[in-house]
Amino acid sequence: MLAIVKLAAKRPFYKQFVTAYKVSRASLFALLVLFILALPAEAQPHFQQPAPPLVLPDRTGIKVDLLAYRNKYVLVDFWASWCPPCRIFNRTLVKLYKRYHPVGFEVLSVSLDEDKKAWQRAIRTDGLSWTQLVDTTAWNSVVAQAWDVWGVPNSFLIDTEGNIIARNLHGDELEKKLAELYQKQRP
Amino acid sequence: MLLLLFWGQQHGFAQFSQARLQATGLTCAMCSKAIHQALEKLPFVQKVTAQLKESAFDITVKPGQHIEPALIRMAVEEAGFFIGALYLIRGEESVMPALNSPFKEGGSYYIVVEKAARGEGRTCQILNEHFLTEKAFAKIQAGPQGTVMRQQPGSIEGSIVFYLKCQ
Repeated sequence: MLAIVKLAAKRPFYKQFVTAYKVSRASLFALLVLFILALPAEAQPHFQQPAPPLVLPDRTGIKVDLLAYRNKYVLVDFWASWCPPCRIFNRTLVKLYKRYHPVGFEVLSVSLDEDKKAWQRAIRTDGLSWTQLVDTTAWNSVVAQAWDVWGVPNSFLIDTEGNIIARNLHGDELEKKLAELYQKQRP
Repeated sequence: MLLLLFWGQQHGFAQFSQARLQATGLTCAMCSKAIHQALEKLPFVQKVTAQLKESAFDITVKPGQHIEPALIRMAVEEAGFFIGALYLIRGEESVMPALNSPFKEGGSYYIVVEKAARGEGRTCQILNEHFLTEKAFAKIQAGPQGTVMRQQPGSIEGSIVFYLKCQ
């Protein structure tokens, strides 16, 4: 890193910049560090970062906003009826929802099904009792893109302030995390 | 008569209007955006639908266009997966190609090396290497189909020949 700065310092462009704008070498270095830190951030959701917007229609066509779930832990689960691992994960969710919903845990399923009938059928078959949202634009979904979802299942655990605190916790991991979260809440 | 011949060339061989693709890999192929998008980008593909029961993609070919199996393989492999099975499905009005005689459709050459006694022969599986699992390919190579395939040309005018088993 220092070598890059030193190299840059030798270039006449840098010297002109320094004399013209009277900036110190240290502040330029700080700018460079900031720039490098910002590089991998892009527009992807990161842990402890606010969840991207999520507003989609439910089974009755009414739009549901994730913002309405503030003050609760929510698992946002991207799935599809034609995705075998998603259907297996649904079983885990049914079990955990039953156990933790009474103490405030919420699940928000977001399906990328193009075929609404197949989606509804899967909800019935898997016995999903929580709110079900759908984006029939499937892989062209703007929402999925904002959430950096490139495959399903893909799930995000959102805390009470609307921050993503974990991604793709499966089976035991999710169970452990929920146990930990709801243990903490008890006085 | 000439018109009829011309019509035949235009429509008689626009046979494969659909395909069914089973892809394999370390993760669920159907659940990946990459493979979906790679398939949808192919010039002859109209629509790609994932099927849960068959754990396969159903590919609809654009009207007037021809399916190119080599491009499907490229798309699948670039997305990080392999072809587990690729079935080409002829339209209802199309004619069953003669056994063991090469024909061309679009930029690809095909030879039907086997036709099941039952069925219309509308669904044809490609038996070439890299178009089915390694295990299935080895089995076919060792069986009677392998003998038939070795008697046929491997390529025509520099293009690979796809061997088909139709049922």
